[in-house]
Amino acid sequence: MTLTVSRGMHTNKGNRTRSLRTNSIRKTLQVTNIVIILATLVPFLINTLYYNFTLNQYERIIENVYSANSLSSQLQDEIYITIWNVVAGKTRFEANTQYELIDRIRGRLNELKKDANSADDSYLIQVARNTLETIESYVDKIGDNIAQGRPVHDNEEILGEISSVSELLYDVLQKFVAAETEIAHIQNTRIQRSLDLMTFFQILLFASILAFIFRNFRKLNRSINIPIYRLKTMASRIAQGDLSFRVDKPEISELDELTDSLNTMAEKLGELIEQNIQKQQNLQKAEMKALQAQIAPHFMYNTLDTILALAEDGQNENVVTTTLALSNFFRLSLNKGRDWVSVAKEISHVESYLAIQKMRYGAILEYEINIAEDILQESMLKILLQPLVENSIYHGIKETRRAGLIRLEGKSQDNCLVFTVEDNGLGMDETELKKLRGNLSRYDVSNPEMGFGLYNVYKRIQLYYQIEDGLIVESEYNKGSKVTLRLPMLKDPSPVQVPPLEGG
Amino acid sequence: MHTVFLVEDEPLIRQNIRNTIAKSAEPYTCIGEAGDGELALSIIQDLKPDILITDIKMPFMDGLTLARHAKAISPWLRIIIVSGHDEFELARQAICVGVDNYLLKPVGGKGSLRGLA
Repeated sequence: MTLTVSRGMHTNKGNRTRSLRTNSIRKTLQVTNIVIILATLVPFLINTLYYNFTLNQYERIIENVYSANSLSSQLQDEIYITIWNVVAGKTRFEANTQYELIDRIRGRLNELKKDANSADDSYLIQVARNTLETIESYVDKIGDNIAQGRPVHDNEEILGEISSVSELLYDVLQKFVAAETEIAHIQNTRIQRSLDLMTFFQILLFASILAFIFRNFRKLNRSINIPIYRLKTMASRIAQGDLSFRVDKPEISELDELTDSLNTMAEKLGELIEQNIQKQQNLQKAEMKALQAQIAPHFMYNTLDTILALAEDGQNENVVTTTLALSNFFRLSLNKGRDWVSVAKEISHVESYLAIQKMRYGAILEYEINIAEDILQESMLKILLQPLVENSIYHGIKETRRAGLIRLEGKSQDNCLVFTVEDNGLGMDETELKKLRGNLSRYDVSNPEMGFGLYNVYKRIQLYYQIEDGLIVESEYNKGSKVTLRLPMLKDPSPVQVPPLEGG
Repeated sequence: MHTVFLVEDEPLIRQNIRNTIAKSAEPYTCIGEAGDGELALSIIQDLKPDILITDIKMPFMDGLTLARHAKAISPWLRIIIVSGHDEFELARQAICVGVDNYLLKPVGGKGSLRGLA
């Protein structure tokens, strides 16, 4: 009974947790790993790309600076020397070295313009190109002068012009270099700043990854440890014999099967034990019935002996009443194989018994039966009173030489049927009483002798009513004994039919 | 004429046996009776009957003990046991005591009379 109740409670709890459970350890670990890999890989890739890009830019600027610088430094001398050589006639004008040089410079200027990093810079290059064009026009003039055979003096003048113009070109280029250097510097500071920012973000990211891992670890720890701890608790509870314990569904699927198995096992175990108890009880009930059946024949032939004596003596009326009482006694004992009877039937049974015994023992046995009307239709376990009365006769009244009196009373009290069987027989002293009470709880059934009747009643009350204190024995030596039965009134025991009072 | 002493804890049975003996034409006369062994033993010492008819299961002193003591007091005493118990052990003890007959209940008055013969 208690088992089923607690089982229901636990399944309810199980349902509740099942709805909010998460997934398996494997999945959690997978998610964690992916997150960690992404968290490390993505910033790394972004960093690398960014640095590659900015460094590339920086490098280009530096290259520009370098190339502009080298250009500007070589340009001054080279232009002057080349053109001087032409003017001086060391190289022929037609050899076109002067134009080759100019083309080369223009090519490099074009390259610089292409790589220029700001509008200002490309404007500077434009200026440089214009300057170069001026130089070219001067060179053209020199060519004309040579072709026209003008005096060298003219050309020397032009060379002076060229020299100053190329000085200008140098200046422009230097300006370009300065501007590019400035840009490089700016770029450099920017890189520096972004490096700081990156570092900051890296630290932040690292901290959050750490926090994430820590949180995850704790979560995993909880979702693994707690269910395992619960399972462990359950196992030890089961080992201690508490089979009502159940474990909720764990939050991780790996432990599902184990939990289910443990729960099922506990349930099966409980059922088995319950079954076993049931079997044991049935066995004990059968044992009690068998032992009771053994007693009946004794009473039977004693009574037959009595009837015989009565018949021989010619007491026909007594033969009739005794025979009827005997037949009534056995019919009620059998009770069509049912274990439960109405109080009226049970009283009728014990009355038959007493009538027969009175016939046998005559003057030494008197009895009074006093049963409250309102309990007659209640039901109770059969053959509980007769063994008590029998006990009173054989262990009480017959052990004294005075006239015996048995008083049987029955009434209802606090929803219980209370029966008392009282005799004025020999009774028991304290030690005997103690021994008898001890006998009730642990009786050697294989050796039934003294006190079997009481034990039988006690045991059957225990088996059928599931109570321990249904039978109370009181006694005083040489005064008599009093046995009290307290039986709970049963709302609906196995169906009891109300008997029409029959027999004599 | 033989004197008979009757020991039986059930008054009805005792009365029945007594009546049968009284009514029969046999040379037996019932000189006394008792409801238990203890009482019987004290009376037997005074009455000194020839035959003792006794039950086995009785309060205070059972039939076999009574038979043993009675036999010790008057060795010529003839003893008939009337019992509802057919256990071998009881019969063996009865033989040891020197019982003359062992009748099983229910015997009826005529049965016990046949036992006397």
